[in-house]
Amino acid sequence: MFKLVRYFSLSSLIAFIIVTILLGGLYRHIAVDQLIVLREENNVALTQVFANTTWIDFRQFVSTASDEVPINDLPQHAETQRLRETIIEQTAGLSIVKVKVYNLDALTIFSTEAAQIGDLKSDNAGYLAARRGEVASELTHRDQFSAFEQTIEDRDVISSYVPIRQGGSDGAIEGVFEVYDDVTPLLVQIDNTQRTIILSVVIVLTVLYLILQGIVRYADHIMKHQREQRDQAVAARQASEAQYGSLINNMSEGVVHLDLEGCIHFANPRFCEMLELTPQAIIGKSKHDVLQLVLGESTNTLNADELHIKKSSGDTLCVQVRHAAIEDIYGVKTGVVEIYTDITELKQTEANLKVARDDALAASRLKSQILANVSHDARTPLSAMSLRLEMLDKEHYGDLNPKQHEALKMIGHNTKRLGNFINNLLDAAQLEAGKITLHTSSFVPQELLKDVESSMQSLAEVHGLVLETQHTNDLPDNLIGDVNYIHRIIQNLVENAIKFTETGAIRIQLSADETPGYWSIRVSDTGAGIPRDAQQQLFEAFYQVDDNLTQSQKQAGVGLGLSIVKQLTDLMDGKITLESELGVGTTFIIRLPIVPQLEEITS
Amino acid sequence: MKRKQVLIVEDNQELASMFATILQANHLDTQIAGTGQQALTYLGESVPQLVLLDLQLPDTNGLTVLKHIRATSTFALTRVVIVTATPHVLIEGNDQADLVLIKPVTIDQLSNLVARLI
Repeated sequence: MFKLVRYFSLSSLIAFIIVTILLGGLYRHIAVDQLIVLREENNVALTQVFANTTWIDFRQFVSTASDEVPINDLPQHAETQRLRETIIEQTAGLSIVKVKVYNLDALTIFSTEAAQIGDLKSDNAGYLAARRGEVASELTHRDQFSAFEQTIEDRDVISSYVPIRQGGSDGAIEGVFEVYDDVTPLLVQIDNTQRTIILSVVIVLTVLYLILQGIVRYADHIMKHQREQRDQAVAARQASEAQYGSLINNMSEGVVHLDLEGCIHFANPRFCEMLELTPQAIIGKSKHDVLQLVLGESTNTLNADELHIKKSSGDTLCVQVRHAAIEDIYGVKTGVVEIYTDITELKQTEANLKVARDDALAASRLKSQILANVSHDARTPLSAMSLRLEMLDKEHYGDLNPKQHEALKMIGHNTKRLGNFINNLLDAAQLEAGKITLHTSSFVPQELLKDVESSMQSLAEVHGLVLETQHTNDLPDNLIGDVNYIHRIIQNLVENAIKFTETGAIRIQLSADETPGYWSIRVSDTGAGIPRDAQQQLFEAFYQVDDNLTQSQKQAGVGLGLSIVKQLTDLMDGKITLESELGVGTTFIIRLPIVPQLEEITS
Repeated sequence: MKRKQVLIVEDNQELASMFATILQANHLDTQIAGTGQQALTYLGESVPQLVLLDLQLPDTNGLTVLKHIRATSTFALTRVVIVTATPHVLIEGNDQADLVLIKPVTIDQLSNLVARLI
């Protein structure tokens, strides 16, 4: 139990006892005092009655008895007997149990207890007070008491010494009257009342005590609960502080807590390490003063988000500073926390990256320029050559015999191969650099087919193959796309087919595709077919199927054609598939959207 | 009936003269400009029905000529065909040309062009 309750119980118990004893005692004291006063007044009144009525008959006897009658004879004296009867008569019905009469010499002239007649009371304080004219009373307990007629036991009596005056209160004192008044019943009543009062006080105080005890216990319970909560909160806070303290102390960033005046209240080890200062040189100091030490003269940059700290080694530490306000629970700003991150390496990396990027951009620009120049310088003379050949062949410059035609065809064929090789090389470089741009426009598929046929016919013929072209009626009259690159796709597929077909025909077919929204280009050959396991790698650059190739076929290309076809098809949001049967032939199928996305597409 | 005019803007003289020969065989009048400046000078005096435009010219990019043609209302009916060896540098101007041909071109391509465009 909490000490408060124990102390309360103990102190209240002692207080109860004291209060009860005091109250009971006080009551009894007051009651007895009042009783004595009351009975004394009765006794005075009784004495007064006696003095006024009976004393006249007996004053002579009382004043002279000691001289005239031997003391031993006094009890049997006739006057004594008469006085006894008179007193018994006068006190009949009262609670008076004994009466004594003294003469002025303190001698007991009369007593209702005959054995006491003749006793001398000259030293008795009560008698002496009565002789001085005062009334003296006292309450005494008697185990045995001789009353008028019998002996009574265990009684409380008040005895009063009252002076007897003849003729009222101003008369001379002629004797002393001692009256014993039995107040046992009254005292019993007082004692009962005292017990009642004590009992009441005990009950009231007990109830009060129980109420207070309940209140105290409840308060104790609440305080105990609050104490437990506080203890738990303190423990949790200590644990949390330890945890965060450890976290902050081991952070790779410097952490500083500033008050509103910019004075440093806390700095973690990393911050001290960054500044190469001891905690004593930092804590309690102004942030500006501390930073000035390490930043040298550049004090105008003290509030910058990026600081350059000079280290003792001569190196410069580049530090990023972030700020956050600290607020109390009412949202009032109480300070600032600053986090210092070492970004030296980051800055260095950034600088290196920038140099690398600039180099790469310059290299890329150079590469593009070289490509443009190579492209222009190779294609322009090639263009002149092929046109001149064509004009020769078409006899613009005079008639040719069949052998001359044959020779021109071979030159034309090789010129075309050279041209296509340059085209593929440049396209591959452009695709690799992601610089192919599609130029979409509307075109007529039949015209495309005618162009392809006219440019590939002679090549097929040279290889002893038939080139067939076909378009189905379901094909739209106009299509949208980059007609040059679509031409390139078909050309590459046809070249590829010619390369790997010994005899038979190459067929180009344009049609609407079974996939809605697409049209398709099919290029079929009657060649050796492609083994299934080689089909997956077919579209990789520089890949060639090793099997079934003659030496001359192997030398016929570097394997760029299909890779370019695949990349161009992807660029046009198309799909490429192939159907091949060994010994029967191969069909490449290109599916392209009828309405491609109209914006320029850059790979 | 007056023959239709074709301006050939091409710095390679051999190629230009062959283009001219082929187009003339298709009953067209041709004029050759070897530089951008020559092309603009010609365009200041005549309104051709067709312009064959090389992009890599000695003094300027062929697109300058194309922009001039498209910005001038006189040439509203003039068709422009870019004939280039460097299609990858052709980013802008594509939509302003009626057609783009990549060198080498064939006689049939040129003949078809005439049939299609004018």
